[in-house]
Amino acid sequence: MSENMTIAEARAAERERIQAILSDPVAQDRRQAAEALAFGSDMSAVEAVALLATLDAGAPKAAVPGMRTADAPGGLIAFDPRTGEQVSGIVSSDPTPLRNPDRTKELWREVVAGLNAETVGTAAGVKATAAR
Amino acid sequence: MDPLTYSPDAVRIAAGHPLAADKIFLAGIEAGMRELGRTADDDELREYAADWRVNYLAGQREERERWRKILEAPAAQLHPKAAIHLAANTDLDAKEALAALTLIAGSGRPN
Repeated sequence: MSENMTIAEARAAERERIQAILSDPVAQDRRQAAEALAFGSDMSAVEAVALLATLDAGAPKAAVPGMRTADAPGGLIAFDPRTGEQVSGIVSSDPTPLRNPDRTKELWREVVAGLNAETVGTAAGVKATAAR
Repeated sequence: MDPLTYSPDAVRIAAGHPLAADKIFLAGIEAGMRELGRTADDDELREYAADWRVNYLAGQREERERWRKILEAPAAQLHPKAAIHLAANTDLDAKEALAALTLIAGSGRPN
């Protein structure tokens, strides 16, 4: 028996199989799945391509679309804990002043008071129900 | 090319062996019939086929690993078609193929 010949034969057959799977047009938009079948299964190229054709094309979508904080212009904002100085991210030399700071404070006060009243009301209602 | 072909004779000879349903083992019996000739008895053929199967699986595993190493390299992610081309059409080992891919990636040529 020629051991080397058997190994060479096996390598050639495997090469042909993997190439047939990865080069098939169906595999072009399903690269990850194609590689998983080529390297992780003993399916023939025909079987693997048939299975790939049943999958939706395209890579898996990102769980959360949109920008991440780290992608913000200037990157993450970081402060030096000792001095309190901003050391990274965009530093505005001319921050836009609030148009009407007193009105903003007033609005916040109203919102907080409303929330407090709601919470107190709910807590009182719960107490009254429990007392009955 | 599919070396895993076998005749009804191979199936008959394999019958009763634990690997009787294994197509690589069956192809090994077929290879044994070619290699050892008509004088070989069934036991000899089954023994030959068991060894043939081990070697076949080793070759299959080596080639699979070679492809995997080539395609997983960062340079292959940039040039996937070139990576498949190198793996399929050359006998470069994974290290040599990666060197070639890195060269391509460094050239700035689009894939």
